[in-house]
Formats: sequence, structure tokens, C-alpha cells
Amino acid sequence: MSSSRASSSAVSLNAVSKSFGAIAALKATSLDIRPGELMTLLGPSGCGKTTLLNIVAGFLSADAGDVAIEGQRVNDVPTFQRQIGMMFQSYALFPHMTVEANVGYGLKMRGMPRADIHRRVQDALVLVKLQGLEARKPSQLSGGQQQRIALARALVIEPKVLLLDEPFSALDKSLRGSMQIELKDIQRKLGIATIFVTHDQSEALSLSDRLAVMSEGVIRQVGTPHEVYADPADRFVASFIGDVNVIPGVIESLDDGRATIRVGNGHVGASRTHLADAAPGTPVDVFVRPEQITLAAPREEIPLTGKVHASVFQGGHTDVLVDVGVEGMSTVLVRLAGPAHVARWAKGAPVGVVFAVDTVLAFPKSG
Amino acid sequence: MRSRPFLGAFVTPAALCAVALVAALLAILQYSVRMHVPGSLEPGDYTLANFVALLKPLYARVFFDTAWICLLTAFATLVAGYPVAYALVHTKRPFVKGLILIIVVTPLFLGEVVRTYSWIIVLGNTGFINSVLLMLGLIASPIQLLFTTIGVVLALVHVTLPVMVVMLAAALAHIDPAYERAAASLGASPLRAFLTVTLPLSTPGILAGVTTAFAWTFSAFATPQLIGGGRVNMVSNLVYQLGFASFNFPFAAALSVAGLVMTFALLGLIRLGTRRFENVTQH
Ligand SMILES: Nc1ncnc2c1ncn2[C@@H]1O[C@H](COP(=O)(O)OP(=O)(O)OP(=O)(O)O)[C@@H](O)[C@H]1O
Ligand SMILES: [Mg+2]
Repeated sequence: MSSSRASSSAVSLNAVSKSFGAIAALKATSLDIRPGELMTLLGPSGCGKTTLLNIVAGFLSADAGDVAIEGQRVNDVPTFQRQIGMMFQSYALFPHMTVEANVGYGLKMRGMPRADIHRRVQDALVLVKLQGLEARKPSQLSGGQQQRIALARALVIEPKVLLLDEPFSALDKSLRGSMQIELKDIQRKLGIATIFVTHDQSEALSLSDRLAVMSEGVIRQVGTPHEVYADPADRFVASFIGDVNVIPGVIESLDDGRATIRVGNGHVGASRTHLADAAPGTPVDVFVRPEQITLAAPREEIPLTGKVHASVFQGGHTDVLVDVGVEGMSTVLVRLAGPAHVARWAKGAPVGVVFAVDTVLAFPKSG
Repeated sequence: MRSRPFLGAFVTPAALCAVALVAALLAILQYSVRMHVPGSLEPGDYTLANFVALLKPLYARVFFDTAWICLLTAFATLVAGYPVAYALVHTKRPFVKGLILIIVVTPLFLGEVVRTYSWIIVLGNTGFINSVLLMLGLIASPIQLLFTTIGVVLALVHVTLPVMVVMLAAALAHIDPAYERAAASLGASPLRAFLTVTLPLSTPGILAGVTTAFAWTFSAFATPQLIGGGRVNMVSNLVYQLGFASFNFPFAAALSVAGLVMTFALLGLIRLGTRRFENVTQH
């Protein structure tokens, strides 16, 4: 779609900031969205995701910095001339217009002849798999159908970038899953650069080509879902993406790239990436994913021991919560593949927690 | 059923008022079908002559004028009130909001007579409007505003504005701002977004405002009496003249009944139109 500028960014933000009074909603933020990629903005409520999106859309103007769409600076270009497509959380389908008029609205604003509008609207409705409802009003559609119409309306104008602010938050879980897959299919098929806002990390991990993790007006890390999950840039990202256990430990020894950390009565290795100026004896927090640990019968030399608090069968895997009673943490979540664990690790059973990998993440103790 | 010990006590005053009102209306209805006995305040036999007399051009004309003034007023109030309501809803500064609200609502708190006399001062040949226009050299001699329909409509717009603005603002405040944003994202300039989205979505408010303004104006008395100075007559003025100058109570009653019927008929018509629009804009 944007073949003429394949090399440049679809959207680029350069040191963009925005404050509301005393609140710095966005602090000097830079971000590039490549042509055709789906970039997710992920972060907790109030971290500035919507603010960033609204600056790209032109609903807000940045206090400082530059915004460019397909290489053209758009700081002073009003929304209606930015050629964006936006899907709103509330869908914002015009209630007084039919489905056909809603989807055709953007084309009408562009002065397209009526016959062409009709044809393009039909194509768009085929794309979102929703034909035969052209004469209905939005109030006569289900939530999922409204969603598709809103997507068709945003896509039919062939925007330079598609902006979506928590588009699926109003849908129930099963519908959300299927809409995510469909959105991703359509987005890939059209090759349209997309910025997708969500605070749901599983949604972000499953949809994104790349994602930007935000907190308090700052982008903490930009990377592919795998990069961000496996190699988080800091404590915040590590704890925000995916489930993670934070277990206290102490650095025992350091060599070239590695640290050996004592956890309870056992040891585990960690890369020194985040422990640059730590010395032996420094207390650290070990960040370990539920699938990076496993359970064993309690014995000597085992990092942590405790009792099973609960075993929850999740279909493909079993989540076991273990009471460990270490200072600063109460339970450890262990994720075991396969279905046979519920019976073995019954509530109250004494159990040992062991590391299933030899390298984990560790960060200096916070505060 | 649960007993409600205070219900009776609370409802009684309202019920008494309603009874009195219905009784008064019935009395008027009764008077309207009785004969006028010159020189007596007591009505005579039953007759429909009063209503037949209403068809005389002299009286029919007053009804026509009244409807015309009401329409003009309702429309002018809409045009003047819409931008004010829009600004009231969309301004982000609490100070501006408060200021608009105060200016808009003030006419309701001024007494009708005080307000009308102020307008006489403004509209007079040496009044504010004419003085300014003369000073600016836009006119050579004062234009006649007092005792004209325009003057009456101007003063009526002033007093109708609060109602209109409040009703429009209520309607506009209910429109999700996301609609205008969606329109902008789809390439609509602010003006086109307003015309194609906000304006149509505010039609229920417009119709409610116009209807109320119309009914509100129909019963105007002091404004046409003082500013019209006998040269602009509305139904209320005629009722007053016949009732309290000629003491022709039956005919005054017939006029009132006819005015009431006409108001209801016109409101019914507008309502009919509104219903179609409400179906259209339902969310
Ligand atoms: N119009 C505004 N006026 C004042 N403060 C605002 C305004 N809009 C946003 N903020 C503040 O800026 C910060 C960032 O808000 P933003 O809406 O971008 O968060 P978000 O990441 O989208 O959160 P959520 O997930 O809850 O939608 C918040 O602290 C918010 O309170
Ligand atoms: Mg938001």
C-alpha cells in the first residue's frame, strides 16, 4: 500500500511530549512504526497510551516534538487531512445513519461518486465478512457486528495508518479472541501500518509484530513479543509482561557474564545484564516465569520448600500455587505442562520448588 | 402493598391546585358557550355564536399574527440559542461555562415588567439601538422598532432564550464527542462534521426546544402589550381587552379556549414530526 515509501516509517514520533496541567501524560517519547507492521502500545491504565494515539490522530497537539506520517510532518495538519483510519472503543458508529452510510461516510467526504462508494463499501463489508445488513441502523446490530462495521468504516478509506484504542475491550472473551485473529488477518492482508492500544498483555503478545511497553508516560521497551517476554529491559517490563514470580536472593559469586545467586537453600544462574555494578552479597530479586520452575519432593539443597496451596487444572497445563513463607513473598506460581498434576500435588502436600532452567533474570532490589 | 404514611399529605396540595385549575378551565369552557348580555357580568343563554364570531377577519387575524409571532420567535430563538448552547457544552473552561449560563438565565429572574421596560428603552427612537446606528452613520433617521412585530419578537426571543439554550444544551451534552472525532478521522472538516453528524443528532433537542418556545410565546402578554403598544396584538392581549375593557367574558372565554385548542393542535403536529426524528436518532 505504501510502496512509494517502503524505506521510511509509516509513523514516526520524535521526542513528543504532552502535559495536562501538572500531569506529564507523555514524556519526550520517540517511536517508529514501520510500514505494514502492527505496533501495540501496552501499559497500565493512565500510562499515556491514549494520549500518544490521540497525538498521532491529531485530536491532541503535542507540547513539543514532531509527528510524521509517511515521512510528512503533520504537527500542524488537522485530523481530517491526516488520512488516518481510527476505530473507537465505543465504535462511534453514527446512530442516525445506516450501515451503508456509515461505511461510506469517509468516501463521501472525499467526494467519490456514489456508484464507486457503493462498490467500495461492498468490498469492505466482504472483507469484514458482514454483508446483507447495509440497510440496518447501528442500534440493530450486535456488539460484534458493530465492531466489524467500525473496522470496515476505518479501512474503506485506505488510510495511511490504522489507529485502534482498546477496540475489543467491550466484547466478551470468546468473541474477543476471534476478532483478534480476524483483525490480524485483515491487517496483514492489507499491509496497513497499525497502532493498537491495549492494557491486556496477552492480547498484545498474540497480535503484535512489535510492541511498546509504556509506564508513566515513558516507553520502557520496544521489541517483538518474544524479545519483550524473554529479555525484558527492566523490572517493570519483566513484571508487566506475562506471569512472573519475584523471589528474593543474594549474589553469591560473579564471573564474566554471569552471576550465581543463592535462593533459599539452592542456587541459580543469572546473566549480568541488569546487575552491572552489583557485588557479591548484594540482595537481588530473581524474576522467574511460572514455566521456568518445577516441583519436586522436598529435600536438602532445594531452593524453596513449602506446601501446595492450590492446584488449578487449566486445560493444557496445570497451575500450582505453593506457600513458601519466605520473607517478602508468600506464594510461588508454578506452571506444569500436561494434565496429570492435580492429583499428585494436592492441597497441603509438602513440596519443593526447583529451577527448571539454569539462567534466570535478576534485578537489584528496588527502593 | 407497603403503606406510605406521608403520601396523602404530600399529594393533597398539588391535588387541590389541580382541582382548582380544572374547575377554572371548566368555568371558562362553560362561559365560552354562553351569550354576552351587554351591561351585565352574568352570561346569558347557551350559544355557539362566540365561536362563530371568532371567524371574523378581525379576530382570525389576531390568531394568525400570534401564530406567526410565535413561529418567528421560536425560529429566531433557535438560531440565536444553538451557538450559545454549543459553546456552553463544548467550552473546557469552567469560568466561560458559568458566564454563559449566568447571561443566558438572567432573563428568567428579571420580572416580566422590568425586562419589558428595559426593552422599551433599548428599542425606542432615541434608544440604544437607534443611537448606536445613528452614531455609526448606518442610518439617517431612527428606524421604528417600538410598536412593531420585530420589536415584540426581539423582546420575546430574549425571554425564550434560556429555555431554548437549556434544552439544546441538554441534547448536545448527550451526543458522544467520539462521533465528531470519528467524522474528523474519516476526513470531514469541522463544519461538515457538524452538519452531517452533530446537527442531525441534536434534532430531538431542536424539536423539543422549538415546541417549548412556541407554547411559551403563545401565552405572552406583557411583552406584546407594552412593546406592541396596541399595534401588535396577540391572543392574550385581545382576551384582556375583551374581558377587562368590554367586560365581554363569554367572548374572552371563547378566545381563550380557541387559543388553547390551537396551541395543542400545533404542538400535536410538531410532536408527530418529532416522533419520526426520534426513531431516526435512537441509539
Ligand atoms: N484531557 C485530559 N485532562 C487532564 N488529564 C488528562 C487528560 N487526558 C489524559 N489525562 C491524564 O494523562 C494521563 C495519561 O492518560 P491516557 O488517557 O493517555 O492513559 P491511558 O494509558 O490511555 O490509560 P487507560 O488504559 O486507562 O485508557 C493520565 O494520568 C490521565 O489522567
Ligand atoms: Mg486510554
